[in-house]
Amino acid sequence: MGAPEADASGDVGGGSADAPEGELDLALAVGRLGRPALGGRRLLGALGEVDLEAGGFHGAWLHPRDLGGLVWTQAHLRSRGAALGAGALVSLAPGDCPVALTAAWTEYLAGESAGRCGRCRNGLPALAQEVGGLAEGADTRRRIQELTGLVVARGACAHPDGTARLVHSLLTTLHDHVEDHLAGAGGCGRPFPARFA
Amino acid sequence: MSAPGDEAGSHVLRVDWPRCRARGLCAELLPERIVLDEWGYPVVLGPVSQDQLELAGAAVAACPRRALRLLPG
Repeated sequence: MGAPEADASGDVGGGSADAPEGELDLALAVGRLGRPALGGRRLLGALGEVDLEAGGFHGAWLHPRDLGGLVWTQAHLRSRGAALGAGALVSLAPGDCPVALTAAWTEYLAGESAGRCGRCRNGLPALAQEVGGLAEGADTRRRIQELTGLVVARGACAHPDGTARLVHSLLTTLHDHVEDHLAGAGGCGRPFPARFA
Repeated sequence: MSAPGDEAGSHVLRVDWPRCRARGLCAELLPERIVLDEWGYPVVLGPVSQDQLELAGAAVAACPRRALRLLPG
């Protein structure tokens, strides 16, 4: 398959020349969604400095260095510490702060708990508060790791697991962003709470 | 020679999370294997050894919510 055609619908049914049948070069998919005029190879370059959140609310942050050769399958994303999640892709626009975005998403996800299991009912609001604190400049990383460890695999569903994965990936994959954010050198152009729609 | 399932650590405790209401009896009866988190919910520390089976059974039976189960590992 040659260079992708512009496809505003974001149809991910096709595959690139490098991806196995039925799989999709992730960079190509993002390119289709965000930069439809560029070809696949150039897209990889264009994406070189872009952090990507794969899977939406229950996904994980991916670092630019991990984007090369990624394919849109659960198995491959898992091998990079991510997940398909809700199947959404979010790339950071210039000025976007992943810490503020994650804080806003975590707050939303905490509100989406069904409240059936104690760890989720108590743990996610506590987690959201700490990630919000991180966005506001407090180094709450130790407490965040503690809370993500507490909520994983301790519910009837995987809502807390997915939420913990998202937050955990912020601290691991985007560790350098978080350091910059806390040092005030990140140049976060977006106020907290971040808008997300 | 022991039958399968008889060796130490061959049973595991499972919490039915929607049922659990953090009453905490399990941790009082089996502190060797269950501690409580900051909200009072159980944290199971690992498989139950042979000599802890009786206490584990008591913890399971004592749960007022029937939220704790002991299963062959």
